[in-house]
Amino acid sequence: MSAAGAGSERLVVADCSKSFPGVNALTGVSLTVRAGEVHALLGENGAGKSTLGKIIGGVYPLDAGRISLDGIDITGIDERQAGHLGIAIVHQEGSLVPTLSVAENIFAGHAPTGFLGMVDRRRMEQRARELLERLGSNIDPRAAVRSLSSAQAQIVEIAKALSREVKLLVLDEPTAALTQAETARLFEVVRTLRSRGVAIIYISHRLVEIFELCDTVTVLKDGRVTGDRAVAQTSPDELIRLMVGREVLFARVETPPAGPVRLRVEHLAARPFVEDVSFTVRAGEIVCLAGLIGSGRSETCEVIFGARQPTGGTIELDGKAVTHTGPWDAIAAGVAMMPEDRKDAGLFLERSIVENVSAAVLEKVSPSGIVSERASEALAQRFIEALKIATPSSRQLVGNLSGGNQQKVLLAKWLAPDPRVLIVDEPTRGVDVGARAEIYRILRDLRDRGLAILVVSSDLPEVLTLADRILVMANGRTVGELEGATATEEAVVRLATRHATSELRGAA
Amino acid sequence: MMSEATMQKSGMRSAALVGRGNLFGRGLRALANSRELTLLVLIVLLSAGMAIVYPNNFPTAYNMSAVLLNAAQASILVTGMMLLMIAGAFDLSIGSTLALAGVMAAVAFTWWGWPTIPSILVGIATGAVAGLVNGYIVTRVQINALITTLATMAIYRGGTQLISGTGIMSIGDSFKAYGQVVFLGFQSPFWVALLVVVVGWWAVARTRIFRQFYFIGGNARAAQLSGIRVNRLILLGFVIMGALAGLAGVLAAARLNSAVVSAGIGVELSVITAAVLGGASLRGGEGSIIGGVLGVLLIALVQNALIINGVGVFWQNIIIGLVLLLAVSLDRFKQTHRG
Repeated sequence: MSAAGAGSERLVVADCSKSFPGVNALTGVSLTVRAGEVHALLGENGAGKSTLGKIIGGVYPLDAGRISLDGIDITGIDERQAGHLGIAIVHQEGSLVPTLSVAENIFAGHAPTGFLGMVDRRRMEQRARELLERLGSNIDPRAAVRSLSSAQAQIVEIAKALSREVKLLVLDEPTAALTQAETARLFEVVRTLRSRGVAIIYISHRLVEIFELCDTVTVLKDGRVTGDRAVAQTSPDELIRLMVGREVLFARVETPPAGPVRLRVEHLAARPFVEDVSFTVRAGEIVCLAGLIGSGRSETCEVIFGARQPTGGTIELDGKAVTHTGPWDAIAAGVAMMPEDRKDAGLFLERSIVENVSAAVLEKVSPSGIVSERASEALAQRFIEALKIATPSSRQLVGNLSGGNQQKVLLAKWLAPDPRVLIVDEPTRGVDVGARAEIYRILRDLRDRGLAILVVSSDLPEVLTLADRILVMANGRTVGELEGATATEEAVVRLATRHATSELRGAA
Repeated sequence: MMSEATMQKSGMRSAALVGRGNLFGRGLRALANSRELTLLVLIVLLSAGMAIVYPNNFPTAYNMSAVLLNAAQASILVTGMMLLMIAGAFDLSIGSTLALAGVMAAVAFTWWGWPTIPSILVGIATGAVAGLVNGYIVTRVQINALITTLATMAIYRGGTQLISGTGIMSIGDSFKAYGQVVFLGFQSPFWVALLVVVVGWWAVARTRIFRQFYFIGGNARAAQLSGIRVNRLILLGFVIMGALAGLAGVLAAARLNSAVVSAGIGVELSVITAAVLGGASLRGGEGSIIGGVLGVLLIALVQNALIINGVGVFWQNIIIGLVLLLAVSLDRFKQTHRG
C-alpha cells in the first residue's frame, strides 16, 4: 500500500498541452511518476485522462511541453519508439485480433523467428506461457482470443504489454470489463510489477480502486491538474472535490410545477446492461439520468424507445403499460429519442435537411403513400425558423453543417412527430457554447409547454443546469434521486462512484 | 465550428475561381455532378459518332430494335438491383433465379398442361419465392448478402438442372407469343421492360415505401432508430428483385421458345456493372432507377458499336471494364472537387 518501494523519477511530464479541433484536451499538465509506484490518474469522463495516457505512449504528439523517461528527453517519440523504450499501454478498447491465437497476439510484430525468418511457434508459445504464468494465469497460448472471457482478454492485453522489457506501464480503465474476483487478480499482478520496480500509471474514475491499489494520485479536471496527493494522505471527499466544481456557464431557470406522470418505469431490466431501473417523468418536467459511462443510462433509454428488448420490468405511458416491438411502436405511442451519437445513429449525413427532418414522420409528409415535396419542405422550413438552424438552404446536406446545427436538425427530426415524451441522450456533445445555450433554451421551452423530457448527460454542470430532478445510475441500477435545484456535483459523483466501486461489479 | 464554416466558404470560393479560369474543368464538374446527365451525354455522343461513321449499319430501325431488345432483359433486372443497392444490398443469384423461373413456367405449361397466363405467373412467383428465401436469410439469419446470394446462386442453378435436365425445348406457340410479338416495331420484351422501368422509376422517386430505401442505405442504424422497418423493407427488396428476375426468365424462355438451364449465366455481374455505372455504390444510399437503365443502355450501345466495328468479344469485355473504371473515377473527381 505504501510508496516505500518507490525509487527514482521514472517519468516526468512537464507543462504538457494538447488540443484537438475545438477542444483543449490538456493544458499545462505536469506529472511525475517514480519507479516502483502505482500512480493514479483520476477525473470525470472527458477530463483528459486517456489523452494524457496516449500522449505518454506516443499515440498522440503533444502541442507543447516536454516528457522525459529516466532523465532522457523523449518528447515527440511515436508509438513504436515508445515500445522500444519500455513504455507499454493497455488500452481501454481491446487491441487484440480475435481470430488469432493468444501467443500470436502477445508477440504481434515481434514474434521470435528462426530459420529463414519463419516464426518459431514453439518458442513463441513457450514464452507466452511463461508470461501468462507470471501473471498468475493458465490461459492456453494456442487458444483463439475470441474464445476468451473479457477478463482473460484483459490479462492477454497486459501480457502483450509485458512481452517487451517494460519500465512504464499505462493501464487505461482496466477493470471496466472485469468482475470483482478478476479485478482482485489484476491488482495482484499490478502489485507484483510494482515490487519489481515498474512504474505504473493507473487511469480510473473508480475511487475505491485508487484507495485499494495506488500510491499517489493526480486529479484532472477539464484538462488541467487540480491536485497531486499521496493516497495515504487524502480522502474520497477531497478527491471528489478536486474532480468536480466546473464553472457553471448557464444559470438555472426555475420551473413551473410539473403535471401528471407521463412515463413510469418500474424494475426495468435489459441484462447485462440494465439490472433494475425505476423512475417517473412528469409532463412539464426535465429529468436527468446521471452516472458514469457504462452505468446503463443509454441502454435504459433504448429500452424505453423500443430499440432494445427488455428482459424484465414494465414501462407505462400515461398510466397504460406498453410494449414496443421496435422504435416504430414507440414513435406511434408518442416517444422520441435523440441518440447519443448523432453521426452514427441519428442523422443521414449524405442527405438534405428536408429529408432528415421528415425521416421519422414519413407518414405525415406522404399521407397517400406518395411523398409530398411541399409538405416535407414546409415541415423543414418550420423547424429551420423555430430552432434557428443556420443554413443557406433546406436542401443543404446535413454533413456540411456545423456540429451545433446538426444537433438542431436532429432535434427537429424528433420534434416533428410531436412526441409526448422526449428522450435526449447527451444533448450538447460536440457543440459550441452558443449552440449549447440555444439547445438549453429550446429544451426548457418544450418543458414549459408540457413535454416530459428525459436527458442523459455525462456533463455534470449541464445536469445541474437543466434538471428538475436528477436520477443517478450505477451498474445498471437507479441508486439515488436528487432535487435539481439543490443538488451539488459532489452529491452526484458520490452516488455514482460509491456504488460503482462497492458492489455488483460483474454487471458490465 | 466557426472555422469549419469559413474553411468551407473559402473552399467554395477557390473552386469557383478555378472553374472560371478553366472551362474544361467546369464542364467536367457539371457532368460529374449528375450521373444521369453524364450517361446521357455519353450515349448521345456515342450514337452520333456511330451514325456518322456507319450511316448504313448503325442508325437503322433493325439495329436500334436489336440494341433495345438486348437491353430489355438487363433493364428489368437493373430496376430490382438498383433498389437493393440503394438499400446497401445486392443479389448475385438473379441469373440462376432467371433460369429456374423460366424452367418452372415451361414445366407448368408443357408438363402440367396449364394455360399460358397461369404458367407465366408460376414463373414470376418462382422468382419471388427465390427472392423471399434470399431476403429471409439476409435479414433474419443475418448472413450477409454476398455469401447468401453466392450460395443460392449455386443452389437455384442446381435445382433448375435437377428439375429439367438440360432444359425444356419447344414450349409451345401460345407461350412463345409472349416473348416474340411485335408492336410498333419493337418486340414484347422491350415493352415489358419499359413498363417495369417507368413504374420503378416513379415508385423509387416518389413513394414513401421506396424512399425509405435511401435512408436504409444512407445509415441503417439511424433508419432503424427513425422507426423505419429496415429488415422488412430489405426483405421486400429481395422479393421484388426475385419477381423481376422471374419475369425476365419467363420472357427469355418465351422469346427462345425454350427454357434452357444455362440461361442468365453471368448476368448478375453485367447488371451490377450497369447499376454502378448508373450511380449506385456498394455502400448504399445512392443511385436512381433511371441511372441504372442509362447504364444498361450505354453498355448495350458500346457492345453494338464494337460489334459493328468488328471488334472481338474479348475486347468488348475489356472495353466495358474500362468504361466502368472511368465512370467510378469520375466519382472520385466529384468528391475531391466538392470543396
